[in-house]
Amino acid sequence: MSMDDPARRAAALAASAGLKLPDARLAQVAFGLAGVAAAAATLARHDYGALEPASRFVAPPSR
Amino acid sequence: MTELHWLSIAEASSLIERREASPLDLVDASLQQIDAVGARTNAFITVLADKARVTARSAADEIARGERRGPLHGIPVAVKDLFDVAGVPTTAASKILAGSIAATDSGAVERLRAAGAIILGKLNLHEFAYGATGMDSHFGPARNPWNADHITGGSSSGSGAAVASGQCFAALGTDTGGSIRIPASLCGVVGLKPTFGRVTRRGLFPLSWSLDHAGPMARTVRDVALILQAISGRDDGDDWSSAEPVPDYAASLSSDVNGLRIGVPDSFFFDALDPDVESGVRGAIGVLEDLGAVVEPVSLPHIADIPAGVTCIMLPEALAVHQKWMQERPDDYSESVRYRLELGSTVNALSYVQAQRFREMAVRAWRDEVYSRFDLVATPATAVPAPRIDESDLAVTMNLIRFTNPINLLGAPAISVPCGFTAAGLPFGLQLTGRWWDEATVLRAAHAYEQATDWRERRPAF
Repeated sequence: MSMDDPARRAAALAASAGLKLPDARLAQVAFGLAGVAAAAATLARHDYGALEPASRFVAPPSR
Repeated sequence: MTELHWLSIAEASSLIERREASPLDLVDASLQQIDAVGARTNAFITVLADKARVTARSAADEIARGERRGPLHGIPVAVKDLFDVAGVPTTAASKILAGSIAATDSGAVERLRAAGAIILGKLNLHEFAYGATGMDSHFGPARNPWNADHITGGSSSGSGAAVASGQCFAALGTDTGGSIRIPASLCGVVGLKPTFGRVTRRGLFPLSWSLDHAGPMARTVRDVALILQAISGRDDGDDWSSAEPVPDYAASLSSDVNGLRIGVPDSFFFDALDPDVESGVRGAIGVLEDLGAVVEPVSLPHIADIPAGVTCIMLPEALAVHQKWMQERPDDYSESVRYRLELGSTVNALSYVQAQRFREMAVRAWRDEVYSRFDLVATPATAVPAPRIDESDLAVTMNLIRFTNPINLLGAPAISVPCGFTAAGLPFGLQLTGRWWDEATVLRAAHAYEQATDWRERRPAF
């Protein structure tokens, strides 16, 4: 199994928080992991303004 | 005459003021109702009968001496078993905390007592307030007074059941993703989630610090206003409580809604609704319009993405609270709560930070694009009436929270007021969401609607 495997990834993340996930729970948490990843991806789509305002940089001169 | 335990706080208080009933009469009426229907609703975890009677006698003496403190003096109320009450266990409906005796009163309980209210007991909830059904409690689930085969909703399940069945005059609940408004909707009572920071959370077992709110549940909007008045305002023991001035909420109820601007979302909040709920909520909005409110469609910025923000904040914040116990005794949690806590480990720090930044952006957008044009947003509180207790927990939970949890991210005040019953006799609520710190307008509109209808007159049959 690689870290691409959701169950292995869920177990590793839980372990990083000091939690032990019994095998019987891995599939369920791995399923939930997909939902969390989708939520994170949703939030990552937004521009929170670290580079804002967008107008601070002028468009590069056309050549 | 209406039986004492079914009176509103305002009515009962008036009887006390006129010396036509005593605080002990009210406590005894509530205790008799607990005896009559308590086993069928399982609303209480702890009933403080003796302490309540002692306090009632003391209140009666004070009132007889002309020292009546106000409308809550001598009124029996109960609190979700997440609020500390000195000398009484705070169980959070969990095995882990069962038997943990609170050393002092929580801030909200302290304020209720200062206003003269009598603490009747501690109410059932979804374990650690981490669930919207109320089904997972170490003490067994509370049952819906309107039909015991259906859930109460949660997490303030006992608060909804106890108020709806006349076992107390009002209750305190907490709301992190809808835990006041959901059981209020499903049990047919009024529940208010105030603005974040309006009500102290000192002595309240946390679920998610930046989303947790405490607030009142009662059978009328006026009663909710009276309780809110008592518990609002800055508490130096809660750094996140606000010093924002607290207006006279009951006084605001006398106004009408003529000219009030109400936005009705053009999507999201009216997707996949139970047909009875949709017709009831749209009818309620029509009543407000008939009363003079100006109703127009509104587009709500970022609404579809707000639940993602809640997810990435609530999951890790909750695990942060429970991490030690989850490491040492995970088997002592219910299945549903353990699962959500485990999921908390899968949200990385970047996502948590982005969610907090998203929250700031969403708040700004609602302030600038919604509340610059509207005083309130009207929606259903829940998409469905109370589901059956044998329905799937995860699917039910996701459906129950979808109209309430966005408001927790925003921190804006929102109320659920009863606005109808399904053909099967199950209640549901209208949610009115207002500007930050403007609970007065939320209450005013809810009160105007309530007074124009007679839903509050219905009582569950036992």
